[in-house]
Amino acid sequence: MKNLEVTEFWRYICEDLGYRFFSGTACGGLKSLYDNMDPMIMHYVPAVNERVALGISTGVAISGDKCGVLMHVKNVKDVLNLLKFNRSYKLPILFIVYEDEDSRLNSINNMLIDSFYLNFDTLRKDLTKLEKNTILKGKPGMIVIDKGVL
Amino acid sequence: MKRFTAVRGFLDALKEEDIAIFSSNETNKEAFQYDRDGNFYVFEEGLAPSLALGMAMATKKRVFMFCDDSELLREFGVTAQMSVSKCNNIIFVVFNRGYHEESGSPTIFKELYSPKGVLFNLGIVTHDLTHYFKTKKMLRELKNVVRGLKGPLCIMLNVDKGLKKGLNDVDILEEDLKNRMTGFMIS
Repeated sequence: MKNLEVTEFWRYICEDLGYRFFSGTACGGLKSLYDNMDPMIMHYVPAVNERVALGISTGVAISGDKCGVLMHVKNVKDVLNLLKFNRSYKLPILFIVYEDEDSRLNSINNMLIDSFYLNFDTLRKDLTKLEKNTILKGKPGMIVIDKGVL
Repeated sequence: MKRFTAVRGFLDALKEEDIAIFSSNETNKEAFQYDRDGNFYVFEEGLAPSLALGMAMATKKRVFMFCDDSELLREFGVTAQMSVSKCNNIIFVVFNRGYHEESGSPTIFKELYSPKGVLFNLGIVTHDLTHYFKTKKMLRELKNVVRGLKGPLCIMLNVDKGLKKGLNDVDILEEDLKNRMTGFMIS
């Protein structure tokens, strides 16, 4: 099966869903996403660490914009305690995370759902399924990108 | 000088359209006694500095972030981020107490050879405005100084270890606070 085009993914996230501001940290698995960011439809701020990335995105989200953060799945645990703020202030942030064989989300699955109500979904080939499952529920949501999907 | 006095004096010196972000439980209480639409209170430790920077990126209004030295040390990476952001509307106001607020244990901030030098090497200019709180006349002058400030900048204020007791809790719902700030940012 043909892989998803990265430009198609960004168009969907930025133009169809309205997420325009992103922050994040370096992740080799998300290289194709970084390489294909279109400054005409989005703004990306590279952050020094994941906590700062989430803080910056949350700050921008207070102004009413939809925001996202990009990171490797193994670093999600570093920001979990900060998500309490996003939940209580109703500031949903879209997480775009990469997972590989070495670091699967499954190990922290239950903690995410039980403690932080973080919806997540794995990106397959059909983008529209994400809309139903993950993003538009007014809570922090997460798109997990498997190795080789994009 | 107690931190409460510094918070009150600095809030009085801000312009009406300035945004003020406060971090930690006790600082929030102190600022809430002089609540205004541009005030925003963050209770999650370690979030306020980067949150303030994100807000500065999203508005043209000046954003003042008030925190203790202990929080600045914990989130030191934010100062580098602030420097490269080139946001000229973000200003950190750091209360140099030398002690952690919750535990009362000492921080290493006062032991640093030159906190100003460390920040300068990251690209942040630091001003110590403590002397403006010594007399009423100086306090009036502080207004003129604060109104002319441009970021990215760090303001250092040396305050006592003691905290004001018996202050009321921040009595505003989180969602109401967010909506108030959203309205203030876009107004």
